[in-house]
Amino acid sequence: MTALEYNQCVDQHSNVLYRFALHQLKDQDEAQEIVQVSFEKLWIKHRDVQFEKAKSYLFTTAHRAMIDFWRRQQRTTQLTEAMENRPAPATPVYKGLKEVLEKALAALPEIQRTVVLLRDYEGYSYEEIGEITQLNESQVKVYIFRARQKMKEMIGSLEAVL
Amino acid sequence: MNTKEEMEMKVFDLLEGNLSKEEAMAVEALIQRDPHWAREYRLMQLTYLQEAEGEKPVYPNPEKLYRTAATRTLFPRRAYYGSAAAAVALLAIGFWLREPAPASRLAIASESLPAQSVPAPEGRSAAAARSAKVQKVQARRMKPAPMPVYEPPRDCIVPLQYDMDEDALLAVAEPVPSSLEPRSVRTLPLPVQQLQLASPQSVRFIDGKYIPVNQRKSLYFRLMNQGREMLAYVTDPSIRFERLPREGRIDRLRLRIETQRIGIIATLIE
Repeated sequence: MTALEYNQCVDQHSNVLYRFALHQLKDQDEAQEIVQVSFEKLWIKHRDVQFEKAKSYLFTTAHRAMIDFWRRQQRTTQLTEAMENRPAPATPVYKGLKEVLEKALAALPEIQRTVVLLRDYEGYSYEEIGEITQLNESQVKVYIFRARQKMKEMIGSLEAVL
Repeated sequence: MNTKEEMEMKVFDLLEGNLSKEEAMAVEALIQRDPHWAREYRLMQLTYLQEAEGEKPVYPNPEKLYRTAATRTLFPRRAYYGSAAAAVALLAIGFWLREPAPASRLAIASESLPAQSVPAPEGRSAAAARSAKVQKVQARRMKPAPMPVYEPPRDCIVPLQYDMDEDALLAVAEPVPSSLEPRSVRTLPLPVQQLQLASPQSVRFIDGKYIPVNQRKSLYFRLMNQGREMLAYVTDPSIRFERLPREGRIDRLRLRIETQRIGIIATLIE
């Protein structure tokens, strides 16, 4: 990939990559950092990465960077919770389907959330998602199915409220 | 008869478009007949995420991600390979000079000895030993002094320093939390392991020298400030390392981060 093609990648994929990270992390600064790190790595490898594969490469890098972020966050959260002995969160109040979906999505395990986001927002096939997440197609399908089941149950349980 | 799980998977497959035409028609017929599966289908349908065009967040300042070939390629590729080939050739010549062939070694030995003392066939081993000694001395003379390379100790502490232009601080686009004013974090203990660089291969510790690490557009690091753990973020940094020898104690590395275009964002880790 040339420098020109790399810059085209920035134009074409920076927004979708940012949205993907933002949906996952719910933090603009962190999402921007993930995008920046992903493009940094793409630039380092730009001679080896084909232009057609750049989007997949970016999503793979972002996915790995987010796994690292979650691990760090998990350690920090555990430490903070142990120190503060936080009370249990109050029962949430939902205003609409969109909010319920967001909460349901946030409650999913990271890998399930990732595959659903890649499937719904990016329209990736099982095979492409598998490449990004290092899973095989069947695993991707099962994760998507389980994620939708959980989201469905959450929506179903709140159907009367909505 | 399909089990509940199989039927749930069929509904999922229908929505995902994984079924053949016949299978899809069969599942659709069941959904129309059975109110339970009609509800399941409707709920499953709601789990498909959609984003309205107007609600799509946009990455701010994508132009900051742009690169030109010059920013990465310090040397043109052809020049890089050319210099690599030249280095290999020089090394080969060096080895050739250091390790002469056995025939020439004998020649050197015979030249260095008077004619009458040329050893008999049984004295060859002594001559060879002497010649090897000569070779060793010559090699030692030709060998360049080893370059001192500093290996940072694993548990060393890096006091973090960064110098900032106060005028530049005023021009910062991002809000700088008051708790992270440059003056208040003059020196901070920062274990080496926590320092995260995007291009770690460009960080080299060489004794007594500053090594610029300017390959990076941004840097973030964890630090303790006023008793709170933070993630700090610096854009366009110029990073240098300095070795600080200390008598009888572990040497310290000083990391100096300088930035002309100030941009530091701190995120509290809660």
